[in-house]
Amino acid sequence: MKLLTAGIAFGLTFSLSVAAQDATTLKDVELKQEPFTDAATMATLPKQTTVEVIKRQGGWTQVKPPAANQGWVRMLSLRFGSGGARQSDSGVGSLLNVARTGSSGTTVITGVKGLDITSSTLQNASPNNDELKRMHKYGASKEEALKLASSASLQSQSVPYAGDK
Amino acid sequence: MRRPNKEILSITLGVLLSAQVWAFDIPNLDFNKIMSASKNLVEATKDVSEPQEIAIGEGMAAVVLGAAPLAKNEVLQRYVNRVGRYLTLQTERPDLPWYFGVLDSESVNAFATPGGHILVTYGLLKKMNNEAELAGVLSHEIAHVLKKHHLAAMKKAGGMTFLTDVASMAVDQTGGGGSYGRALSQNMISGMKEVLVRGLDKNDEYEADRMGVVIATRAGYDPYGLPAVLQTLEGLSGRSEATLLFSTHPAPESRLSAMDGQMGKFEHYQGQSVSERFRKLVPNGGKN
Repeated sequence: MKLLTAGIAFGLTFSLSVAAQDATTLKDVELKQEPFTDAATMATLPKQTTVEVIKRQGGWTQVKPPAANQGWVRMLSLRFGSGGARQSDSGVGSLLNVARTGSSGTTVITGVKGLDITSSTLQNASPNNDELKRMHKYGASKEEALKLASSASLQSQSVPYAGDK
Repeated sequence: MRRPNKEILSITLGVLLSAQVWAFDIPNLDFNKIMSASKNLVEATKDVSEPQEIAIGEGMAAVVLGAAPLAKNEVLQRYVNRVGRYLTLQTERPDLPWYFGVLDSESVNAFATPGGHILVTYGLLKKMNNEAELAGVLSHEIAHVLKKHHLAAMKKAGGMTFLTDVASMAVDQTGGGGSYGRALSQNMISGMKEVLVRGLDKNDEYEADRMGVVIATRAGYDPYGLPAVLQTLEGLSGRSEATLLFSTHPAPESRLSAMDGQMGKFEHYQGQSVSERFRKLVPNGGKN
């Protein structure tokens, strides 16, 4: 428990705000006061309760049910079904489109949205070796990779694959 | 996946070899053809060499890049390469020539090709909330490379022809780099496209999910990054930008329920989300 509390005190980097959206409980779930298994249970939400998602922390998601105070449920007890009507796309995609040069030699009209990758664009694609060269140019050395990790205090640890002894 | 193939091949080989024995009685049988088929089958039971694997993967990456180029943001490309490269250091194949790229596309998808080329769309990247989610997705793709899932799919789709093409590839033994524009046969390119469009064996996707969580956790990230992205994908059902992803992968809800049993043990691992620099470096990140 102390470790977990320390983890929370670790602060900002650990807790994530998710864009406001709804989710539905997959089964009857306990609504906990805090994001721990042994935290006090505030209520039991019946299967198919629609809740507003506030944020996620590790394997727990903070939610606001319609008829209870906000609390925490296990992340994987939620389904993010049809809640798709969210705004996305500012102008960044289109800016990138403007900046792109037609390296395939064909004129591509991409419109406001970025280039779609669909079955047919893949079927019709010609290998683009210029872009492959660019991709290689941006490659990272092991040293650069480890430096990035340590600058975020990421520490590697030993974890077996499922099924490994 | 590979073992049953080998068994089938060796059975076929056996049949062909025994065909030679009674070939004398069958006037129209072309002896040379049989000999050459047998030779190919022997060749086919050998694994694709690592330099060949890398060359195939480079060609396949070039095909994906033919559908959408890299995003112009160089800082972003280098950042994603470093995160990805760090993850590969937690795996059993740390010395492959690993490269990562962000595709300039609003589609939501990620691709791995044999030997260590991994591409994620900008459309998917900006739906992520932090580096742990990026690590989850990259680790899933890295797992496909580790387990050679795409090679298996190509063998399955192309069979003998694929293996004959591989055998005749001229690959410089160092593998990777320096041989751009290498002429992969048209046949092999079609095989790659078929795999890209049809997707992998569904069990390979579940395996990559399981391994992906492990690799990200080994690196010190919040283990729930990949499940979080899958929940985001779940919320995209029916949206056109995820059409190809949904048609080539099991449904996100199936992947999440497959993971449910595994995730319990990850509660005990400390992991970081790394949101701050992710938000700085991924313009427009966290947009669902």
